[in-house]
Amino acid sequence: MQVFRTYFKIMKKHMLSLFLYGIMFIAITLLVTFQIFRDDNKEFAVSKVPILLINNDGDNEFVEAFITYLEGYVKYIDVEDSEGARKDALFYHDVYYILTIPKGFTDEFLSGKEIVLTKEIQPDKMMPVQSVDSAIDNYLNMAKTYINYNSEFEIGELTNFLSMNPVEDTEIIIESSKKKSIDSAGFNMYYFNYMGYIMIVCFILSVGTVMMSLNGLDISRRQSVSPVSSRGLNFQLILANLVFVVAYLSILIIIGYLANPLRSFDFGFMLMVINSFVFALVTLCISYLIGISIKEKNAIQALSTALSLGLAFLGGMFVPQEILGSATIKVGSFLPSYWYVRANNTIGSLSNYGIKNLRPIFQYMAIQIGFAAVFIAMILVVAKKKRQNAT
Amino acid sequence: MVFQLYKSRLKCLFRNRVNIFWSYAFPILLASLFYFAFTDMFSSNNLETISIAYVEDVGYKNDMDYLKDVLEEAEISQGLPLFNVRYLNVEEASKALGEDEITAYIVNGEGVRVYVKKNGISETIVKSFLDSYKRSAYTIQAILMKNPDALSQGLLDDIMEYKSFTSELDKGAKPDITLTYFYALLAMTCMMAVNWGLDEVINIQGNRSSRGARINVSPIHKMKLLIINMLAAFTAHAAGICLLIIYMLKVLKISFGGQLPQMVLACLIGEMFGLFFGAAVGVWVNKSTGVQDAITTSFTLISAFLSGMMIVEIKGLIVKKVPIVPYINPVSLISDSFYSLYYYDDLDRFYVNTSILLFMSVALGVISYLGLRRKTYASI
Repeated sequence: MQVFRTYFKIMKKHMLSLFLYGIMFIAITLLVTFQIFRDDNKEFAVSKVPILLINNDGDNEFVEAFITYLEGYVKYIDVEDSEGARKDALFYHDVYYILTIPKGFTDEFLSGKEIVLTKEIQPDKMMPVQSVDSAIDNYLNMAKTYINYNSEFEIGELTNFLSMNPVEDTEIIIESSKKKSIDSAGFNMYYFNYMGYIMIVCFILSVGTVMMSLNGLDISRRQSVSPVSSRGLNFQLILANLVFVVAYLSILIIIGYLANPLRSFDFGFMLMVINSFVFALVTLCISYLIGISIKEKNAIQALSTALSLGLAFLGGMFVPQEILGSATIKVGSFLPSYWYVRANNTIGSLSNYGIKNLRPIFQYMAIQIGFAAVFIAMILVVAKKKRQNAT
Repeated sequence: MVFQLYKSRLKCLFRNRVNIFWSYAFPILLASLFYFAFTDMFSSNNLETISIAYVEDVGYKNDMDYLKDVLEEAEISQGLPLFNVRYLNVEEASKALGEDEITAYIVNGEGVRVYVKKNGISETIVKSFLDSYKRSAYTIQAILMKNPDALSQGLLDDIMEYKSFTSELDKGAKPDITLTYFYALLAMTCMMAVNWGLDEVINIQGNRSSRGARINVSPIHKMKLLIINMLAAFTAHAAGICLLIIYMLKVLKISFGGQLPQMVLACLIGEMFGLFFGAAVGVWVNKSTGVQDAITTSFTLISAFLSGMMIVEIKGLIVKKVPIVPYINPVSLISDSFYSLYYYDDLDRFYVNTSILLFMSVALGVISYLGLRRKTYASI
């Protein structure tokens, strides 16, 4: 097993970068865990939209009642009183909405004149923005109707009507029994998707470099006159590659399992593990192909960065597939990473394991295996060419 | 002679495929990926039809309850319904909720209850819709008590006539957080000049490289050659930045606020900082090339990370928690210059950023010079 041992001797040199990528990966997933925990409320809470309120109309009963009402829908955020600070707050999503009550608003509104509030909005957050719009419109429309039909009203009476509105808020119940497993699957989905990126980077970097070293012209010539048969050599190399990939992947999966605060060793998790091994096979083939076709170490480094980022971005590992543009999705569907992520997402949203639900998952895995087959064919061609060149 | 040296150095630089890849091809690749991944990210987040189920409590009957009809008729805009309502019993609705077929189900009986699976904007919309339904019903009641003729005066029409009370203020550039990625990427590309600066001083020091040793025994003045080489590196790297700018502006149509000269100025100052930073590391860090490389690369990456290139929220977070960092982080200074060109009406913030950057670049240049001047070797 000399070749097998040599493989790991060369691999040792890349341990540091493999280790660093691993650490980076785990750090990011821990951040995500923290995020999941923070959002994990058992009670229903209205998603209050952060807004900045600028009141130029002064304090009066009507405006105060309006501000109190809005509190049910928004969270008032204090921002330093300067144009720059306000713009920054909007740009960086500190607030989604800047609402200005213009001077003289109350008087004009109560006397039935046309007047509007001005707003600056964050166009990235249209849903929350629209929810604030509708809260404001509800209130003011109600006030306007009341004014229309009660020509002689007092302001106290109006605010009383608006705020005393004896409608108790609609009761909202969270079906919590359905929550836990969903979050657990959500965590796994995120973890396994991101793990795809780490697999591509690390495998190309390590397997690619080792295969490159072993496939140099001189080394191949030396090998062809050595007593180890060509079949034996290939067998040892394939074995070494598989051992490395399985070991590295298993470590990542075990850490992922332990880091998941809601871990459960269910069928969905098993499916994700299987899917990750299928994808590992594809990445291994890509790395092997790169290893035997590239001659320079620097080029492998560049390729591992470029390929991993490309596959990850276009496949939806970083940005969820649902929010990728349709053109990107089309390009992505020609990449194995897309199908890996798609399978993970489907597994993550499974609610029961009936054959009808499982079929698409196995189809996605089959597509990945198809990609692997294509790469293997390419490997065979390149390897044959190299062998002919070497002799 | 000077021009000859400059030209041959340029040739050398363009043959260094590693540096060319990282400074020319890599940023363009990353910009394209950002473009594919982020441009559509926020474009489809307008209100969408929400799937819900309506469950009527057994035995509940109220002729004045129009909730079912109102849910059916609610619209986001002309022809686009707000809710897609299904009529199920409690068990079916609960199952549908579990399988994510619906966002919520409403049980209408003595009091309306809404069952949801999680907190979220769609869930909040369902709730505020029901709140507003109840309020409208209450408004009608309250008005009718005071003014019994209201119905004949068109009260129902008035309730239905829903007026918007907000209007958007148009203040020029729209906030667009995805721009942060592109700005930080361009800034990082400028900073990638560190590796070029590092190469130049390694090539000139006799104890660092064999080429340096050769140069030290040649008749040319070392400082003169270094300046020529640095100029060549500056030119070659600037060409990469120009290519990226053209690509972003013309192909990807990224907005930089239309002030091209200032933008190029910020890039060039950023590049100068990169070159001098690399030079300073090459001169003052007395370790192997690998260690020096690691220092410059990790410095660039950490700066880019802190300015929001990987996770955009980081930039806002840093500004709030450690406000000094953006003023000393070169990638932040450069990307913030682009940001202020795009988003602000005046150029004050732009000039503050670029001045700090210029000052730091000059300081690094002086530091590198002090380390290099009059260095002689007794024997190499």
